[in-house]
Amino acid sequence: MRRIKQRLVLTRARGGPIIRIRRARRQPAAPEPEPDTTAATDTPSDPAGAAEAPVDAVPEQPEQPEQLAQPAQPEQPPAEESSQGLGDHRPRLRGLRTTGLFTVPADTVMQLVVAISSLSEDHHTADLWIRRVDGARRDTIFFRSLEVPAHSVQRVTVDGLSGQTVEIDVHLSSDLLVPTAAVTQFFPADGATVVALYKSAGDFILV
Amino acid sequence: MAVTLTTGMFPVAQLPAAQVVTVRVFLANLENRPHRGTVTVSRLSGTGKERLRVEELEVPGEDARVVELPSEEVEGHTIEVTVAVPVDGFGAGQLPLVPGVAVVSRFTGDDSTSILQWISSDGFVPVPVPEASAAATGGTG
Repeated sequence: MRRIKQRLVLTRARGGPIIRIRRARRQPAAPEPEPDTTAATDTPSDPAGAAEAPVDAVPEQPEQPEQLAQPAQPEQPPAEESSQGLGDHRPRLRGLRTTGLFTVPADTVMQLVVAISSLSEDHHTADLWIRRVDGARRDTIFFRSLEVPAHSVQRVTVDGLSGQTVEIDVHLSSDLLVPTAAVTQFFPADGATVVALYKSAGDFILV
Repeated sequence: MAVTLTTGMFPVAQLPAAQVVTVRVFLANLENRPHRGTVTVSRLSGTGKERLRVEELEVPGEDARVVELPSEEVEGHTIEVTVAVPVDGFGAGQLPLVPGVAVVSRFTGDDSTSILQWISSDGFVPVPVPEASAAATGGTG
């Protein structure tokens, strides 16, 4: 039996072709097209939806250990979009951003406060999801689409998350909307408020 | 040419009377020539923003400047710090001025201080303010 490496060149709207190299299965020299590679377009999040043509057989390769076919990698944003920090100071707040999972400190009278600040002179919208980890699931416990007028702030306060593991996702319609989140603790005895946890705008990463 | 960086809104702690909470905004110059930057601090008021402070600072080379906001302006409030800093550092695309924010508590009993919260330069994100506005608020000194 010969081992043949197939080279599938897939096309997509941007980012250049996806080149997927896959080990051939044990079969005769002229391989049949794979049934799961017939989709016309390739959606990065759907590894099975790979395009068929062009398929060109690569000359026989030296014996190598058998490997499983590698699924298409999810589309990665260009490097300049994935990094954030002062080294690259181009604005890129728009889009879906997330804090990732974090645990709200367990104590009394804890509040999760999410703020969307607008530096724009126009009206914008922001969608906000708060998700909670419940066992192996991640439940959306809060969703709101916020209208953020020019140079104003929309704030959402959620109670009852003490000790819970949560994630905050925001979808921003403009680079001039800046999200932040904080967990605050209120002490009724003396009216004190302490910031127990703070997620800066830089902590919301692009997904 | 300047870039505008902001923290977004963040709450400032409110402590009992014996502890006074202030906010310090730092601009550190990493180069050996002076640079100018602008610090703007706003406070949440309802759903709007109330501008507390706008200061243009000239920061000498290898030095830092601080804008301090007193307790009565910030303690227990939600504030936003925005800075406009030049982008013409020695390195391509490097920022010569680096911002930082400290929320500081001073215990009046013994005058000791402690840092309640520190927002480093990573906590600032760039925002695309209009070019004319950015040029007016920042630039090399």
